[in-house]
Amino acid sequence: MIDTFQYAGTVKPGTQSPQRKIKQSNTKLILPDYALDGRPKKGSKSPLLPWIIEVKTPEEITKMKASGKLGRYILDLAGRAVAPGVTTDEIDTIVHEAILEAGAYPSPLNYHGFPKSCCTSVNEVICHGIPDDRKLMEGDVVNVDITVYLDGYHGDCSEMFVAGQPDPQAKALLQATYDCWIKACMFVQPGRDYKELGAIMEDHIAPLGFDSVRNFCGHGIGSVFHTTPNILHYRNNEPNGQMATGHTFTIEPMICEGSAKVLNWPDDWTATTVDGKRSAQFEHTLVITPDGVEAMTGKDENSMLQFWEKESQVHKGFWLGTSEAAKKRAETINAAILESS
Amino acid sequence: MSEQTTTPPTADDAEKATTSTTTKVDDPSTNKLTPITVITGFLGAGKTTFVNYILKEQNDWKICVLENEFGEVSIDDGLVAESMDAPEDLITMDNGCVCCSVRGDLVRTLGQLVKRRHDFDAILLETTGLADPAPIVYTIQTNSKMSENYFIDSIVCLADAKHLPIHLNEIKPNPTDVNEAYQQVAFADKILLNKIDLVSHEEKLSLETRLKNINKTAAILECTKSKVPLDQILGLNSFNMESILTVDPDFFDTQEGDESHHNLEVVQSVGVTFKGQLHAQWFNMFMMDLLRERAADIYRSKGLLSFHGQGNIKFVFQGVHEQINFGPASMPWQDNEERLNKFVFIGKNLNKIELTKSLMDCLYKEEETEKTDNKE
Repeated sequence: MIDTFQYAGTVKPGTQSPQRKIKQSNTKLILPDYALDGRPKKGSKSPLLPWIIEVKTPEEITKMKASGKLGRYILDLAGRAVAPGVTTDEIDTIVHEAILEAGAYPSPLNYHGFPKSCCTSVNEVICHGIPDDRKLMEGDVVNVDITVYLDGYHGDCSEMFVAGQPDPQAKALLQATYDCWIKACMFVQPGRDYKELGAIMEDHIAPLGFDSVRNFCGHGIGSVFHTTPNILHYRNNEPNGQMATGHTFTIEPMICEGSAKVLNWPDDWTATTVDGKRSAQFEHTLVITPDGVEAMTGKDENSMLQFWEKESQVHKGFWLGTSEAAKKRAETINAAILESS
Repeated sequence: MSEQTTTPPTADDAEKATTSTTTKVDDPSTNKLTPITVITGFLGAGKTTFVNYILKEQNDWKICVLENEFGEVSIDDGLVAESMDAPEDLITMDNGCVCCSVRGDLVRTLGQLVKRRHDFDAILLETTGLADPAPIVYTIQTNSKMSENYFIDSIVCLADAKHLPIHLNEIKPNPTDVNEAYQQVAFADKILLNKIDLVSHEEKLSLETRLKNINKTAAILECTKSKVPLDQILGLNSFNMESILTVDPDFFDTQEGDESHHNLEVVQSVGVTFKGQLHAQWFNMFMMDLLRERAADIYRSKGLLSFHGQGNIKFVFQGVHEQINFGPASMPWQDNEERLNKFVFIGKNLNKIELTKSLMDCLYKEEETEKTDNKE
């Protein structure tokens, strides 16, 4: 069949491997409610008003920290596999098997019918790229987006990886995306309004000539994959609620070299830029504490130190949060890794 | 994985507003959730008699009565289980009812009850001394284990017709505090006026008028000796989003020039109604601010809404303080039906004119849309 779709850039759909089914014999695995028929039931009963946000109990936060930690572990694993010549399907295989090995479920799998266990978004793909047989090429920038469902709770994180060496424009894009993201994360504390995050990110990247995608947003997360609050990554005045201790949510800006307008592929998932220029994204699952915020998917001593973390003017080294506990942990780890780099 | 935004990305985008997830609201009864009726009430209103009636005299309903451990309801010692920890300690009456004392942790008790809940038609949660049911409502609706098994069927206030007027007139040490009687009346979906045989016809009418001024939306049921036909207080599904649809339309009649309130109650019901389509974002902003600032003053609220850009979907909401349940009504706006927005607020310091003006400011206006998008 001839594909007549007008793709914006050089990335085109490859061939997907068959969708993986979770073996029925794996009875200990807790499945999310959409695992079998693709349709989430929880959280869709009575639509929340945008400012009504669930406060997690301490027990729930403990569970979310566990799934966040696992999500980070899986993301680190996937990142180490990124190299020229590796297909995104191979990364998906590594991710899928490692998540099951850890006794968890890969949240994207069959979520509204999504065919794979993680999203791999290369170059001009903004988000929701589907792993397939396309080989990564030298200089490709790819976002790997991992979500795990462990013991009834989701942990969602993503990071950029470069296959080989980045060109200078890629470096600028990744640095700007990382910096605006951390700036926004650092702003989070009880009492502030969620709507203010967007302007922080937009104000950082716009002077550098970049644009922020408006069609996708960060989201509340917990026993449900996506819920309130909605986190817009651009300047806005939406009544999206007030930050409070116990809220858990993601910030995940998508920043583009050119236009932030979205082109959707016929596969109903992949979103790319309209001009074929590249897009970058980072994501943490955050929890608000009485004294600030913590990244439940934050890096640890086994994670890779990336150039944007080394060279950031916003925060050098790993960023784990603004709470006293998170700052202490970061101090210890950063002392070690920044020294050895 | 990112979520798709539901508000239109830019003012100049040709995209139309996408609807937010407007899944049909599930009727709790079809999901077989167990209904919980919350009983509030004043000391001496007759709750002991009521609970005993349920456990020993009636035979139509299998009810699990959960009592506040500090309650003044005294049931024969042998009939009340200390807790759900040891299911064998639960004494089941001849009619299938049980009674259990809740020691502090309601969630734990209801959690333990889950495996047995299909033995019961309903749960009666007796809340002595608790004037504000908001924490209970919040827990049952937001805690996932609770909301997967239970729903709030209604909040029922058991009151003593003879003494309620006295309780309502009671002045608290801090005069700006609202006394418990007012709160119980304000929060209720249904008011049981007990001991009706002890008051004269005039006293009864006067009290009922007073109660309607405080809480226009609550149904009033008269009874003697706490004997209430249980099918009039259980299984009503009156604590639902669509309850505004049953509010008397006459309540909303605006009488122009009638500023002098005959209504001198501290807590009042205020009705607002006007035609037109609301601007979703402005309405959300107004409600968010209103409920955030005035949460303590607004006990109950209900609404019926028509939004610009949402076709013929009729939206409804009802809430306790700032917790709002909101969603599409089961029936959409009919083609020949006038789009009349309606609101009921039960609370104190409510200014009907101010509320009406602020809500009408949220009506959709074409030419102003761009201006406010740039407004900080």
